[in-house]
Amino acid sequence: MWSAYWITVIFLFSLGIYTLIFRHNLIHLIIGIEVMAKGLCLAVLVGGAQHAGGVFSVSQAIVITIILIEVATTAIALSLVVAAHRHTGTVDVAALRRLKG
Amino acid sequence: MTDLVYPVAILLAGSLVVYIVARVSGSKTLTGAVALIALMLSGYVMYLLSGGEGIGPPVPFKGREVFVSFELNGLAIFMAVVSLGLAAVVALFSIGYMHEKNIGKYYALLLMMTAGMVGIGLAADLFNLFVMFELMSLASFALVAFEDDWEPVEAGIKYLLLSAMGSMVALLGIILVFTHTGKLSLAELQGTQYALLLKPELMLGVAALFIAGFGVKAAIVPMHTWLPDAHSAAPSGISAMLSGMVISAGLITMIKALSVLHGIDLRLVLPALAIITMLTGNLMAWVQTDLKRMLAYSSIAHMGYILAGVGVAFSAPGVAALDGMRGGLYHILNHAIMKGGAFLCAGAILTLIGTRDLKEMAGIGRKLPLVGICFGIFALALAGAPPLNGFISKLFICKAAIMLDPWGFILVVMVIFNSLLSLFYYLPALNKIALAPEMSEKVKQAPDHLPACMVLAIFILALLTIALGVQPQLGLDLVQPAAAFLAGIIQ
Repeated sequence: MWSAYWITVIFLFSLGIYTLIFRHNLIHLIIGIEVMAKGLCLAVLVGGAQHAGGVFSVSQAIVITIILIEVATTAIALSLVVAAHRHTGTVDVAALRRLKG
Repeated sequence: MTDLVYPVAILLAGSLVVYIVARVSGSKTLTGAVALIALMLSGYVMYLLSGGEGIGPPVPFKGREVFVSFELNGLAIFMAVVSLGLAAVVALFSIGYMHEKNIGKYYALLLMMTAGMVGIGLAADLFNLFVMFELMSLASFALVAFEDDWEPVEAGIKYLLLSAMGSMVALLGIILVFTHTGKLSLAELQGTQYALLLKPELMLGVAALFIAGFGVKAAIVPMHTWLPDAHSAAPSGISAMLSGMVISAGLITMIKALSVLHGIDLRLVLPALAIITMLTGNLMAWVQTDLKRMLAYSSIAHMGYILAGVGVAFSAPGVAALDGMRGGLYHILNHAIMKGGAFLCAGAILTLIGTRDLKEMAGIGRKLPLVGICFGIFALALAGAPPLNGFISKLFICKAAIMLDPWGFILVVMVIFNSLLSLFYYLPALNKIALAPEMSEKVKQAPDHLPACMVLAIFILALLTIALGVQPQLGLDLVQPAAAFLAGIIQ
């Protein structure tokens, strides 16, 4: 029964990594990181639920903290994307290739 | 009674106060002074908690829950002293270096980043370690892209995306440990009872996730690509923080996380990564013409030296663990001082002539002898010249590495070879900045004085570079308990 959850976790995490590697739109990349984090949230819950003795309540607290961290990361990332759009006029990563060497 | 949350909480509260002070007063001197007071207060509380003198037995934080715990030990003191000290010097430097605009945000983020680093030392469970690591990372993302120009923004986006991906990968490792044991506390996981729940194959996978994930922040070579961009685009004070402490804090996080994996064999991995890291860093630094970029690549090389010491400790736990850790941690301390100082010099030169190009800097030492001489001291220490502190810690690393049986000799040869290699780019830079008699056009037009606080900050670090070189015992008193703690937990 647990394997269905774990398959979902693996699917979400791989989807996030796929997005980060193959997409060129900055917004898509941020969504990719979000999807990875959501996969990990599910993993914490499933992992905690397999143990007895209050472990599940710990994993609930962890999930809330992960969401908090993700929101902060996304906020900073989006503000940087806005700044990048102001400087390059696009949200394509190909426009961010000026730093070299 | 003695709550270990206070050192971190004071810094976080301080970041709020600093922002309000900046908004109300609009004065950067006052804001910087408040930030310095917050750093000192946090350091003082840390001193009180550690019992005034020396380091007593670990004081566990009486957590109400299973998963929020802090522990005071040698490593926590080491991290607190180095990060608070460097942050204080940077705060002093920034009073002169930064503009009045947005100064409140700058100091608030600086304090937040320092809080994260102090927290990494104190954290006693895996998830808390991760949260502190993220606190440090989040503040550093915003600080790299602090100036609104295309270069910082591009560097910031690269840094953020790579780091966020690395964090997720490391978090997956933490969650796998949690799933299989139901525990997060480092002390419990280091005991043999829970170690047996992790299968050897799983441990290898988790170790790979930790090294790849936290290695992004520690700039271990295949994951280093963000570093030169971020370090050269950030404001110079922040470059000093990033290079001096943030990447080392990433490595400390990695060591702490790896300590939960019992009997894992990293005999080849870490020394091999160390060799690749130092070679890449030095070779890439050689071809740079931009001073801050050169220093950034040199940071990668220095992470290689530190990783060599740490790798030896992981490879030969019985014989050389203490020596390897001592060499690695002592190099972290020295690197924070000398690379921090070198970046502050680069910042001072940038303020004067408005460029980071090495060719334009000829003769700056004639105009400002103190900056030139201090940069000379830092460059020689970074290259590992004998009376200075960089030499001492490289000596410790080599001494530990030679004990590692088949690989030690190669590691020692590589460390020495790389030190020589680094002379090839430090000597020309030293020659240009400190010695060259003729001045370039930009230097001729430059003003011939700097704000006193910038000079003072550079001078303090130069003094420490010499002091720790001629009197290594000063640094060893700080490093020894931390090394003993880390050597104890990696078994």
